[in-house]
Amino acid sequence: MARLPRDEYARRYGPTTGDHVRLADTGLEVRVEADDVGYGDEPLFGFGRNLRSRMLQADRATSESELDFVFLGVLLIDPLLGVRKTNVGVKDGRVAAVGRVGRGHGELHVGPATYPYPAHGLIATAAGVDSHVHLPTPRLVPAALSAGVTTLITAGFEEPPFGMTRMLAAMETAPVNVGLQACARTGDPATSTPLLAAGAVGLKVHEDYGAYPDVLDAALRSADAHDVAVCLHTDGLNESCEIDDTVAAVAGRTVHAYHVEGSAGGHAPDNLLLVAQPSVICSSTTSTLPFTTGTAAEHRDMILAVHGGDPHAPEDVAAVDERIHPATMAAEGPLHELGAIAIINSDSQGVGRMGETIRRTWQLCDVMKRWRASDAGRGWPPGPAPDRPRDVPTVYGDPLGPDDNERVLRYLAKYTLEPAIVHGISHEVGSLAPGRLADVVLWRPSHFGAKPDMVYKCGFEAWGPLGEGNAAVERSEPTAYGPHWGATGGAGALLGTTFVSQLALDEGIAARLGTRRRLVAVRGTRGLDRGAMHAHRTVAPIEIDPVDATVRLGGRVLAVDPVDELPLNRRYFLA
Amino acid sequence: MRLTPTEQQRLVVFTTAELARRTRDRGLRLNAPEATALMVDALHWAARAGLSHPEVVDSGLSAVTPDDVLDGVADLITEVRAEVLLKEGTRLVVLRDPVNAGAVPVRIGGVRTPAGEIELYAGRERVALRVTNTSTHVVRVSSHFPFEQVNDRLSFDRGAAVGRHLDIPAGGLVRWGPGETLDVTLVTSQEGAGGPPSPR
Repeated sequence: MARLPRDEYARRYGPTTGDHVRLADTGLEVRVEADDVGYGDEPLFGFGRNLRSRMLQADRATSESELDFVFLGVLLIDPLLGVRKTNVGVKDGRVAAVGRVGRGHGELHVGPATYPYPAHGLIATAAGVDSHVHLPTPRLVPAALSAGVTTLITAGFEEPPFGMTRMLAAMETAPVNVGLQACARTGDPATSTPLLAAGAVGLKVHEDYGAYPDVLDAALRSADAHDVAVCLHTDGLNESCEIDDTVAAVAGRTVHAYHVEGSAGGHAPDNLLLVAQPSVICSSTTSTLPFTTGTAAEHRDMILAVHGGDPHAPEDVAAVDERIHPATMAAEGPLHELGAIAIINSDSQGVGRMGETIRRTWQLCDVMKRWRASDAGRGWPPGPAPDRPRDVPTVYGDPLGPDDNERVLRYLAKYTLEPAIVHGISHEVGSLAPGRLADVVLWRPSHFGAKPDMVYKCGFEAWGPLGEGNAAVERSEPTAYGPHWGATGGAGALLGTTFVSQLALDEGIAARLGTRRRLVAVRGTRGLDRGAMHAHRTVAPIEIDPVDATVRLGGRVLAVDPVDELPLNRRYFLA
Repeated sequence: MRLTPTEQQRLVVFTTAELARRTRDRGLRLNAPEATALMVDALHWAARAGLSHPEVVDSGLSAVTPDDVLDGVADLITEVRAEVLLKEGTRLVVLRDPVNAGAVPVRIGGVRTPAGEIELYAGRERVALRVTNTSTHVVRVSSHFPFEQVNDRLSFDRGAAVGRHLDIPAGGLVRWGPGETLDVTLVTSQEGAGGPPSPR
């Protein structure tokens, strides 16, 4: 009877149920919760392997059942599917099924035309959804792809329609999904209608164009009429309104609050009070996460640079200094850990870094695990469990000790499923559950969160560390991130999705743009509250000291000490 | 100069390796890209000096020691591939575990497994067979090949093999030398597999 020692099994076929995998150089370990592959019948491609006719290949797969691509023996970490060893089948650009490869009903059919990607020992996640990017130049897209991000929702500022049309044309062959938001800049909802018709995926209210209560109200009324998301950067001057007035203007309607911590913009010093509002879905940007010893110091120049401040004008500098509060920065990570802030996005070149959304999420996850074990972090309630089928119970008395699965799945959702829900695109991206686009990132566990092994767009190789072209084998040094076939020629147009409003589709944007890209309307963006979130359903009634901005929850100071060293950092990147 | 893309890539290696040398000269430890570049650069210099393929490999393996790199970087560099221009032409060099730091508790990205074994093809019926190779050639059979359909020159009770394959881990091979007889165990194939393609 054939048997393999468990360590030898993991070496050959990748980790299986009960094994623990350390995520890169973090202190995080996931436990494999289930294995769909089947001990003995692991599908393998290559010399003397079993994915051939007469063996595991389904010679008579039908045109419906035959997969285009299949990721073999991969460790899938997914907000909806958990931490499971499985095969991921792709057809027509979408995840068709996840499970066992075979020839029977309900199994994944690797037919005579299926292309297998051996992925034993690798981790697969859905590609990142970055819901707050500024794209001032084309150089940001390679930075996003090289970090494992394939969906970009811009931060607004894409008006006028003339510019929006050309921006969409510029993105024609980019192997990413893109949605351009436009700013709502008046108290009249009608002024945003032409922007939505021209292709805006959502509306942004930003203090640089006036985040007045009537502007916010008008944006929300327009959004309610057209089913699009609204993103909010509140009035940092408290010039037209204070936090209470903004909350009153929201009036229980769904809004995505950008950089809720406040130092990247918004009511000073108490923008963070928005975490107490159930209809406000909060996000953080990469500039303040995790809270480190240099976070506050960096922000003065960053804010002056991106908002047109004059470093020689004392009043500008003073206004900037008054929006930087170490105390709210210290509370931001814990509010993520408690499940009150749902989303992490980059705010690329608007104080954040395009290529660090995923990396900083895992750095934060690592820091917050340590916070929970510190005096400041002990005793707080757990975050809400990720909302997923609980077919795999927690293992008590695991011989390998506790795992970090719930925490890892919550943090993963911060840059995948949660932003997809808020922006009305969770039917397309944010998870690798069947039906979504097969925007897959493969990672070596040693490089998880830092450097992808390959980025797939709709199951097709799009971006990765490519080797020297003359070499006899792939990945001969020097390897460097760059375009694979999915990012070459016209392929990106056949792989990328452009998200727009239903109004734009109805008004004939497809014909007007003459695009080959898929145009998909966002939907289900209105009427969401924390309860609609996957793993961030916490409403945190915090209090903020008006003088020093100390954050308290239930009377207790909520804060993490700044750290001076992070994982996923200097071991991995040239400096 | 008429540099080809390959030659231009040599400059990327050189520049990164030069950065690594200067990092090291400042008493700083190397990150993964620096350490990798230093190894590959050593391969190119050894090839340039006219050394043989095994000597080139040795120069790559000795280019970076565990003390040269940041703690944990050894775990990030499991395999390095590069092509060098030897006197005999272009040749591939592969370095495996080139910064061997020895055993550590949980490697970066490492897998921990509980004690025990995984049972393969659990619960399936087995049969033992004696199989003789009557061929003048070596014959190898892989794990999942339907055993009753193997090369006619393997002599055994084919009736007993119907719907079965070798009871060995997936991807494994059993080798019969010319004239060799081996006792093997067969296991029932996965439902739908084995034999000719099944109709759906």
